Amino acid sequence: MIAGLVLAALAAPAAEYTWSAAKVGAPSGGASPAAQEPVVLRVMTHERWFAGFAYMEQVTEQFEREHPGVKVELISSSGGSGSRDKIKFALAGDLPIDVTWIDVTEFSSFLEEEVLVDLQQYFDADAEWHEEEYFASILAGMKDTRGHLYGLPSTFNPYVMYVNRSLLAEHGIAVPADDWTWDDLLRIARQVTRDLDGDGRSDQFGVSLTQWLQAITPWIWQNGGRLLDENGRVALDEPATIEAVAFLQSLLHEEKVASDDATFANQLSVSLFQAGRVAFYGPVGFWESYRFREIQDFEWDYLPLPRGKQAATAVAMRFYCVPRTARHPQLAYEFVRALAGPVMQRGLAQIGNGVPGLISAARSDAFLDPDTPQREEVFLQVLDGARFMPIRVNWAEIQDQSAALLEQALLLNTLSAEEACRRAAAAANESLQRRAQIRTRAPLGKGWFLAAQALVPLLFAAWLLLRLPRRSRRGERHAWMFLAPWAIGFVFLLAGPALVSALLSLSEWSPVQDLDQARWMGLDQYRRLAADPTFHASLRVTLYYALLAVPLQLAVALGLAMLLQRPARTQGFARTVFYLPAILSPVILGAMWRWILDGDLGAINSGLAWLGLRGPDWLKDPSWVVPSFVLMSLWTVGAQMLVFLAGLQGLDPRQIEAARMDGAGRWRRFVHVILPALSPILLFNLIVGLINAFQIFAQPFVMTQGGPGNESRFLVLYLYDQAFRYLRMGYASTLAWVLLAMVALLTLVILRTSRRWVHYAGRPR
Amino acid sequence: MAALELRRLSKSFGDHQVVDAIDLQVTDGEFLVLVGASGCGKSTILRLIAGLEKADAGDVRIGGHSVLDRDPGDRDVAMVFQNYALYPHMTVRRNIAFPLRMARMPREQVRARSEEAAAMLGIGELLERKPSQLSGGQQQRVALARALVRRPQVFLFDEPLSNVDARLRAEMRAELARLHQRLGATMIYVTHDQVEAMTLGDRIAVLHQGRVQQVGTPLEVYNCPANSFVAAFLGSPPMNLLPAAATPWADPLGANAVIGFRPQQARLGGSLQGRVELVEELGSESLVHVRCGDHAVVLSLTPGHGLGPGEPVGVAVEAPHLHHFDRDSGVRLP
Repeated sequence: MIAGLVLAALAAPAAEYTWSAAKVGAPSGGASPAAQEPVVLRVMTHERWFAGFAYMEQVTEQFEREHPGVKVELISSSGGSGSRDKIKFALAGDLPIDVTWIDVTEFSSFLEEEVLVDLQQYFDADAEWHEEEYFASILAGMKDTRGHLYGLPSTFNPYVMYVNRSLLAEHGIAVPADDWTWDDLLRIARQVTRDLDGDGRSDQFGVSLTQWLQAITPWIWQNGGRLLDENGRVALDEPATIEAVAFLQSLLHEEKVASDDATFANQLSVSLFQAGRVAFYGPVGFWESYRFREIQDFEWDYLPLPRGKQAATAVAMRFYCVPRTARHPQLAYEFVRALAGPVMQRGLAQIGNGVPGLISAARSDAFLDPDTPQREEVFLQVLDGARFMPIRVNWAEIQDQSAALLEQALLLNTLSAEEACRRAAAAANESLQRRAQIRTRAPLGKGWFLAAQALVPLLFAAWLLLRLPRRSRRGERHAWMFLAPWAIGFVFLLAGPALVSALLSLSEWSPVQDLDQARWMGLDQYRRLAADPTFHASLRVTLYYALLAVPLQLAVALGLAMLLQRPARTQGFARTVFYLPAILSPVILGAMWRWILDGDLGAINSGLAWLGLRGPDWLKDPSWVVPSFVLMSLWTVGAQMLVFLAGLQGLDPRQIEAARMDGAGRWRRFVHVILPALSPILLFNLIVGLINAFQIFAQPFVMTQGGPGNESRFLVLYLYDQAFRYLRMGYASTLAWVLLAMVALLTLVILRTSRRWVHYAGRPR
Repeated sequence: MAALELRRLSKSFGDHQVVDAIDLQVTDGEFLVLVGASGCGKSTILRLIAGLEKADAGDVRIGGHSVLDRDPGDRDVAMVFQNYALYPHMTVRRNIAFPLRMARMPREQVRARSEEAAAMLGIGELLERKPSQLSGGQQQRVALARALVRRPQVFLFDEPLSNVDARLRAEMRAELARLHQRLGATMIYVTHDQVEAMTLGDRIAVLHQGRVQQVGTPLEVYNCPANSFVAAFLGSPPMNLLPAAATPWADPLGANAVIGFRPQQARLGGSLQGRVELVEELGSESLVHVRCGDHAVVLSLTPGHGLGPGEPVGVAVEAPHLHHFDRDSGVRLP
């Protein structure tokens, strides 16, 4: 797996490093395909996840009809939290993508990496382009500081509040007017919050608060705060911001009128709002109506966010743009236009994916559906106060950095609002500074990486040549012939790239850029790692997990193996059943266990509730999240169990009988005879288990994304974040090498001590 | 030491009756050998005595008390396994001391007793070695030491010599005999090897199909086999068995009997006519295979008889050396 990481870190250098013919210059008058050869337009889409894909196909067919000889290939990047990263993988891997969607919060980082085509010149050259057909305030989110437009919206989502009208009516409360205020929110929330089942904990709330950075910004803006100051510094530590966060914290933890179930990770599960147990839910976009339309039990509607000192809201948006890897930029531009055209826009509006960016579509019945009881026009009303997060800053990264801190204030209440904001600002500014600092470093030059890649095969070849001609080694030459397939793979795909990654760990490089852009950082990276609080948290969490999981896994695997070793009619069936979870994809396991461990509706807590016990909120409680992963890991000990089973079957039954004759009871037979005989297998499982524990990734990636706070940010998850979310391949390589060193050291220590407790003596002759 | 008694002891695995209502008395200090072909149930009897198998019916009594409800470790019985079953991760010292440690004996006593046992078997020098560093014979001695260190009432041996070479087997046989004399312990020894059975046992019990065919001193069993199975099983080469009708000798019960004689007790020049088929020279004796009509007999003669294949011979056996068995039941006739 380490090797896999190193390889992943090197996916880019292994590829050919020219931007191919697609390097964008002036509009070239479109595709000029060689006769007969069809032009393939590759489009990365996220719509497959939604019913909107049908419209996408419709647009595609029409586009192909209008452009004979062009074939549009739709590539799905659908999926949960990893879908954003998929685009980066594609760009890093130099896949020739012609059109892709990106999230507006990452626009600035894509600009900074210079991976997007400036489409302004295409718009200027397009006689049929009328900018005024789109919401100006929305197009603003896709423009750079010069006002150049880079793409067109799929749909956008101003943040609003969802209101349960029936619940308010039940409590004799009128639905607030559109210009309602924070005070109104607090007042109503206090009236609605109840402990219905009398267990001392509220189960009906005034408001279910969403808590990711973009959902928090409206509160900041309403309070007169700002995200960036005039010097481009992240200003999360200014008083207006702190006050806004403190207000939210008080709703959650002092007034206790807000529920914290609406974290980002919870978006896919059934929420309190759907259960009808909360009056307001938000700030959140139009996308929730897609599933809320299923609600039968109560009436609900949209409301603008309550006002603070002023009205304001944020806009979430995904838009289609053209990456620099595009082979056919003109065609790509035309396809972006088609995607933002009436067919697609009306279609997306209809299925509840978001507000169409095309004004005519947004004002049409397709969006302002008169047949629904809800007031869709609220989304258009709030556009006046709608803002995007300022560009020049990679908000996706800052969101990730600050999420843990904001969670500590809002979710866990372990930090004051002021402290959380201060630390978030400091971390963000440090990261901005670092970005600036990296730019001042000298580029390393691609030659070094190529040399590193070439060095290993050369050294290996030299060693072989020196070694082989000797006569006495003829047999060895034959051996090498058989070893060649492995040796070639090892040298070129493993050792070479590993050396490159060692070099990368001493530099910094964004995988979506050319390797020429790598900057030499030297040991700075390692020094930074040593002082990185997230790395420390990560290390602590990983060690805690390993310490807990590995011994328990061994015990459970051995216990199961001993149970399943006994002859029984169902033996084969039982063995299969216990092994089965081990072959399930960790992603599927993760999705399944997220449900099992859900605090309110999960299988475990439902079971406990049936017994009259109240289970913890497994994945959201900082003291339970690692044990949850441990518990889950015990479910997949099948492979270890199988190895133990093989060991048990290799045991000499006479030895156990001899021990019985010698007066050893069950436990002492186990300790004195079985365990020592299994010790080599125990050692194997221990080391493999330890390595696996250090590499846990897919489950937390699917289930918690590292939260709450950093309580499940395992090392490899952090490594992934650095490499593919923040595009810091150098720092990620540093992490990979430190991880490798730690695992190697631990393995060495275990192997050394194993001489005392591992018995290799075979069965006597 | 104690006497051992099996009463109507039975055991079956599935449909297969392995031990069939066996009665057996072993007196205090006796060396009894259970002998029989493989699959005759002899090892199962041993395991039933040890408590490693649960009896279907019947009783096992040691020193006059039933031990059926006791765990193997509580029966005061020690067993030496065919493959020795030494604990490979323990040194010789710890292997020998293991039963004493399990009995929570004081450390000093454990040490003294295991060293004493090791000395008795001449492996005092090997105490710090692991079993994998020992030869087969040395491992055998460790297994013996581990059994005798407990000073059990009954020793059980499950074909302990079947895994060692012929020379060592002879040596260990003598060693076991000496050990029995020295300890005077009750020992039950399972083997399929009739030489071991004849040389080691105070008495031997011949088993066939889960039943005891005959119990007696080696000479009794050899000289006066209780049935044709025992007659054919013991002795090398085995006893010749012919239908009475095929022989010229008088038959007390008419044609319904089988007449047997041992190859060593036949002479040349008698009235049983045949032709030599094969001659095997073994040095001390010469085995002459003779075909008499439909039947083959083997004679053990002193070398130098000058017979060759194809030669007609007559075979003579003196009347006292002739054994008569019922043709159907195989039971010895008076």
